[in-house]
Amino acid sequence: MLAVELVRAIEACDAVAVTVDAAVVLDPDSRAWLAALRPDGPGHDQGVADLYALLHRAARHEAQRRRGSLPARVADDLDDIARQAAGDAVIVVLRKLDTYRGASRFTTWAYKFVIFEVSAALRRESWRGRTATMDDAGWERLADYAPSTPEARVEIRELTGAIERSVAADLTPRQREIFVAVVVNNVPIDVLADRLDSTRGAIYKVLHDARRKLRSSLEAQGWAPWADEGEA
Amino acid sequence: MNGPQELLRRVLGPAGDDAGCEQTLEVLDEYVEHQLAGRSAAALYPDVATHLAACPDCGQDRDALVELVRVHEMG
Repeated sequence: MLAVELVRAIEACDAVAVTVDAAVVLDPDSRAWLAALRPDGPGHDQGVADLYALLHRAARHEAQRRRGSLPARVADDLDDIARQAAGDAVIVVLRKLDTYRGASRFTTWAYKFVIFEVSAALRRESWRGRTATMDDAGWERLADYAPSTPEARVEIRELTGAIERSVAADLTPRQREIFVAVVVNNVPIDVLADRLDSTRGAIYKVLHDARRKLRSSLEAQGWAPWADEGEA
Repeated sequence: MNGPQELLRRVLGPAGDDAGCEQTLEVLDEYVEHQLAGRSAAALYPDVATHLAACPDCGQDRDALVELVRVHEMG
């Protein structure tokens, strides 16, 4: 985003009064950020410039970290993507400043918005021009490893068949489209959200509902998953 | 690796209450700071932990935020 566009977008954001939970004691760095970004404060412009610099550095870091997994045409464009993501994230941070409760450091709170922006942009760019539709080999790839014994091969083939039949019989067309794209073809949810003019949260909800239906259907057929182990 | 169970886990995602994408993003900064401090973020936010294991995009964003905070804020 050009600097002048960024300034205009920031000026268009409503002035926000920052209030932090009285019970929370902010660390000095977070306090300094809030003071600098106060809409009516003398250091506001410098604060916004510093925020952009912080988030640009973060966006570049994340883009570089993922460089190896990106198509070459996207890897060549990382600087532009990082600049755009940082500009978009500055606007989001300023718009949401009054929701910052001080439960984490200010920088951690701000970083999550730039990660969201840069990740979504990298996913969209990586999938530009690629179709998200099912191909014949998709169901074969669902179990993406070779079972070690003939018995395991048979079991995996039977389970894959049961999943494929349940997807066809139990899901709505929308649920089927999203489930197959995400779970079978590994299409990022952000890419689907972009193509279907939706949001990550709305697409995920469809996937979640589809999985619940499939769980019931597969359990009824005797395919019961074990209890899940917790995640750190 | 238990083949069928691994496949079921991937297809169905984890069981349990799921916070969803918006609620997860809301507290992701707190979650990550707990995680980096060695506290069990999953015990504090079980529905967020379930979501992070089920949603590939949010899970990847969590990993990215962990890495960013670890490198830039903790040296």
